Amino acid sequence: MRTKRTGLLMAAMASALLLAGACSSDSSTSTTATSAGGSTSSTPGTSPKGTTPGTTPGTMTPVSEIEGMVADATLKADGTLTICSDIPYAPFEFEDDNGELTGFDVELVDAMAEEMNLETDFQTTPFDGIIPALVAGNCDVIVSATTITDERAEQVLFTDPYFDADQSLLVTAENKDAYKSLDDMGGKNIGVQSGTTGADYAEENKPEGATIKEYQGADELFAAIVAGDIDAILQDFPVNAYRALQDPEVFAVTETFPTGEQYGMAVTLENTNLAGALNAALGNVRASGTYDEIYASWFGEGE
Amino acid sequence: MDTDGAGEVATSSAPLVSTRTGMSKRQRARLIRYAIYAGTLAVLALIVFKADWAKLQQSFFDPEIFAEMFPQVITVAARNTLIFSFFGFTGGLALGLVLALMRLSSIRPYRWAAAIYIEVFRGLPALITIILIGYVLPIALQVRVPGIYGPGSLALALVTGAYLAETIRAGIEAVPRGQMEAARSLGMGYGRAMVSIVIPQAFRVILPPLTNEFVLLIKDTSLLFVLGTTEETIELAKYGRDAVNDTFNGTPLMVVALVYLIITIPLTQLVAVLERRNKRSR
Repeated sequence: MRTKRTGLLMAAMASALLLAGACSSDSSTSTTATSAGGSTSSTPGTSPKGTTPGTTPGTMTPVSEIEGMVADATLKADGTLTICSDIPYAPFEFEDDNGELTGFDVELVDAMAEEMNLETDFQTTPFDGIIPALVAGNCDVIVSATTITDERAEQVLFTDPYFDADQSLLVTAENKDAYKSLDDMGGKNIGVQSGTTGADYAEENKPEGATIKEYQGADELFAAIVAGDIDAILQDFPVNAYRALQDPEVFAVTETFPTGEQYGMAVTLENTNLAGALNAALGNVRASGTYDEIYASWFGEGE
Repeated sequence: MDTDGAGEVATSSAPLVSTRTGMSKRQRARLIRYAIYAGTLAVLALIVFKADWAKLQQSFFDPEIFAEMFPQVITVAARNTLIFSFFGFTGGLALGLVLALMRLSSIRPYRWAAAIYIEVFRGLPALITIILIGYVLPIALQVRVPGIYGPGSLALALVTGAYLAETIRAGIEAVPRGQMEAARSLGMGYGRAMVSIVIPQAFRVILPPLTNEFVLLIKDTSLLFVLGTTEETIELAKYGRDAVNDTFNGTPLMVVALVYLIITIPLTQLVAVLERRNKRSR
C-alpha cells in the first residue's frame, strides 16, 4: 500500500481542488516532494530474501559493542529509542483489541531495542510528514513500513532492509490447488487495487483471457473475492499474507512475486552511529532466530 | 425582461420620491443593478488577472493528454456511463410506477410495503445501496446479479425507483379527479382508465422532475467504482481518475467534466423543447 504510485500532482490537486475523495484514501501514500518515482513497477528479484549485508547467521555483534555505538549516537531522550510511525497500518503497526500497540514493525523494533539496551517510545506521525518529523528531531528513527527509494535516501539514512515488500496472489482456500500461480488464471477475474504496483504487475503479467478488475482498497478486494466477483487478488504480500494467516480456512496465498522493493528504517543523514547500532541489532535479531519467529507470527512460514 | 417598464407602472400609483435618499425607486433599482454588474465584472477581472494561466494550462489543459484520451473516453467510458444510466433509469421508472400505484392503492398492505421501500431506499446513500447489491447480496444470500452491467444497473434502479415513485405519485394526484371519473363513466375499468387516461397526463406534468432525476442518475454512475471496474465496464469518472493517476496531470478530469456536460446539456435542452410543445398543444 505504501508503494502506491500517487503522483505529486495528485497531491497538489487534492489540496487545491478539495478532491481528497478522488485521491487514494490511504494517507500513507508517498506524496513527499520526491516520491513520484517511488514505486513504478520495478525489476523483479534483485535481492534474495533474508540476506542483508553483514547479517549472515552466526555473526552476532556483542551487546557491549552495540552499546558503544548507541553511546556515540544522537538520541532525543537518553535510554529511549523514539520512533516515528504512522499508526495504524496493519499488520505492521496498529493497536490490538486491548489497545496495545502491536504489529510486525513494533515487535521487530522492540526486539532490536532490547539488543541496544533501550526503551522504545512510539510517536504517531502521519506518513506524509514523517520525514520532516524525523529531520525536525521529533524522533530518532522512522519505523513505518517505509519503502527504500533513492529519492528518500537523499533526505534520510536508511538501515539495512528488514522486509521484502513483494506482491502476491491470494485465492480462496477451496481454489488453492487450482490457482497455484498467476498463469493458472486464464479466463478468470483478478482483483487489484487501483493505481498500485500490484495493478501494474497484474496488467503486464496476466495470462491470456484474464480480466483485471480494479478496486479502491483491500477491504473491497476481500469482500469481492468472497462474493465471487473475482477469483484472485494480486496485491502487497504483507496485506494478503496477514489476512490469509487470520483466516486460513478461507484464504490462501499461493504465489509471491519479487518486486525488489524493500522496507527500511530511517535515521537522519548525520546519525550514522545510530544506523550502525540498528544494523548490528537487526543482525543479532536475525541471527538469533527472533526475526523468523516474529515474521512467522504475522505472515506465516514464508521465509 | 424589461424592469423599467414595470417600474413605470409602479411610479404612477406610488409617491415618486423616497424622502430618505432623495432617489426615486426606479433610480435606486438601477443603481443596485449597476453595482451588481460592476461587482461581477470585478470578480471576473480578478480571476483573469490572478490566475496563473500558464500553470493552469499545463496542469489542466494539456493538449497532448487531451488528444490521447480520445476516442476511448467516448467509445468506452461515456458509453458505459450511458448504459448504466439507461438501465438504471428504465428499471427505476418501471419500479417507480409500480410503487406509485401501490401507494395510491386502496389495499393497505400495498401502501405500507411501498411506503417502507421508498423510505428505506430514498434514505440510504446510493453508495450504500450499491455496496448492498454488489457485496451483501452475494455473500449473505448467495444471489449474484448476472451480467457485467447487472449489479450496478440494479442498484441504481432501486435508488431511482424510490425517488421516482414519489414524483409519479405527485403527478398522478395532480391529474384532476374528473378525468378518472369521466373515463369510468365511459365504461373503462380502473386499470384501463389509469393506464390510458391518467398516467399519460401525469407524465406530462412530471417531465421536468423526471429529467432532473435522470441527470442525477447519470452523475450517480460515478459511484459504481466501489464494485470494481474492468476495462469493459469502466465509466467516465473512474476513467478520468485513472488517467490522472497515469499522467500526473489534471487534464483528464477536465475532459471528463466536458463529456458529462456534452451528455447532460443536450438532454435537458431536448426536454425543454418537449415541454414547450406540450404546453402549446394543451
